[in-house]
Formats: sequence, C-alpha cells, structure tokens
Amino acid sequence: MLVVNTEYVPGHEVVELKGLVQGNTIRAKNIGRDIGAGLKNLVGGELKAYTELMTESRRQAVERMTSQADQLGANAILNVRFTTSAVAGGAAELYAYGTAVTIRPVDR
Amino acid sequence: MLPSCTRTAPPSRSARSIGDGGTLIAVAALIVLGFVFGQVAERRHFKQLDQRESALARFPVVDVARIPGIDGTTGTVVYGEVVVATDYFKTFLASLRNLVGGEVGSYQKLLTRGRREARLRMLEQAGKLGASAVVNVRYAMTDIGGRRAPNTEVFCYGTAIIPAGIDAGALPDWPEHVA
Repeated sequence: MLVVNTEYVPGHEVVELKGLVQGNTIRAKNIGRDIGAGLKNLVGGELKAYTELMTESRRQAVERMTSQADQLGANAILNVRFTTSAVAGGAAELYAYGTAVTIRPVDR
Repeated sequence: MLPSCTRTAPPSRSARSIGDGGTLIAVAALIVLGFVFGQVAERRHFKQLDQRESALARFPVVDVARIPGIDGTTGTVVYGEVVVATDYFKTFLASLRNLVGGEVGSYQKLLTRGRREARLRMLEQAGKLGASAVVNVRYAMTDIGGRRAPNTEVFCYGTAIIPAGIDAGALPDWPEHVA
C-alpha cells in the first residue's frame, strides 16, 4: 500500500477512485509514563515516553486505514490527513484519513 | 470541630512558620532548578538544531505539492513527531505573563523547538529512504493534556519524492519513526 499526502503519486497515474478510508485509535497514558512526564515537566524538553506513545498510536490508526483500503482493493491512499485531539481524562485520539485509489506506473 | 481540639498539643508558632516557609522554599527551589536545567537544555537543543539543519540546508522541502524539475518514480509519506513540555521556571514566567498579557516568549521558544525538531526528524527519515525532496509539508499541533503546563504534541508530515534507482518495492507502507 502506497500512502502519500499529495493528490498524486510521482510516476504513477490514478486508474480508479475507491473512496474515503479512515482509521482511528484513542489511547490513554499510563501512570508510569505520567510520573516520568511529571518529573520532566520540572526541567522541560522532550517527553520521550509520550512521543513513543503517539508514534505507536498513529501507526495503529494508519494500519486500520490501510486495511480498509485493502478491503476495497486499492493499492494506494492519496491526500492523507492526520488529526490529534485530546479527549477527557488524559486520553488522545489519533485519526488518519485519505482517499483510496488504484494506481499504475506511467510508461515513459 | 476546630483543628486545635483534635491535637494533643497545638504546634508552636515556630513549627507552623517553618511549614509555610518550607513550601515556599520548595517552590522556589523548583523554579531555580527549572531555570538552571531548562536553560542549559534549551541552549544545547537550539545548538543541535542549528547543526542538523545546516547539514540539510540544500534538501528541497516545500509545502506545495510539486517542485518543477523534481520528478520521482514513486512517493511515500514521511513524518516526524515530538512531545515537548515546559520547565517549571517557564511555567512560572507564563503565569506572570498571564496577569499582564502580551507575548509569552518562553512558550514561543518551546513551540519553535518542537516544530524544528519534528521537521528535522521527518527530513532524516526522508534521507534514510533515499528521497530527493519532501513536498506538501503540513504541521499539526495538539495539547495532549498537561495539567498546568502545556504538553504539546508536534506532528510534521509530508510526501517524500523517491527518485529512479531506489527499489520502490522495498519501501515500507509506513516508515519507522526516526528519533
């Protein structure tokens, strides 16, 4: 599956539009991570545990999106967008969406 | 019931004042700690950002979808991500700033650090994939629920243009995060 956030894939042309696909996940931080982040809040800088958490979560949202595209028989997702929202209770939602298409390489 | 009734002996005046003073000292210590370590870490981070950015200065990065003259055989999404927090000193400064209004310089610096770091991670990922450019760059920032101070997630993403000569079949659907 090819994932891009442009409306085209370099060197390819769109054969068929399959429709909008999406994936989301809502994750809560755990206490261990919260304590570490609480300490880090004293001196500032990157909260590595949270960065990892967001990276893992976004990967899952993307996997859900690509498996939807697989089911539609697509081989690429164009114009992908990401949003993150904080929801109540210290949890965050990660959402990915895009347009599933089939593409083929352009002969040159 | 008054608190003093439950105690066998009321605390002396000096003990009580040490208690209040202790809290003040602890807060002051945290602010000083935040100031010292926060400033050192910030200066070191900005220096490191300058070096990494100058190494990538000639790499084309744009927020439009195409660069005339740069064409690839395929593309893939690339991204960089960082969650940043303020230090105790900056939180204190910002709370003072909130009283009078105006630009909150300490947070402005923090978010700049976050954005530059996320962008660099994206570019380093693109470099690992052998990309010739990154187009259509977008930033997304979200406060992920710091109780008093911001814990801001900065996400930067775009599409890497993959030139001919790189095995397109070996590209991952979703590249590994570069930290």
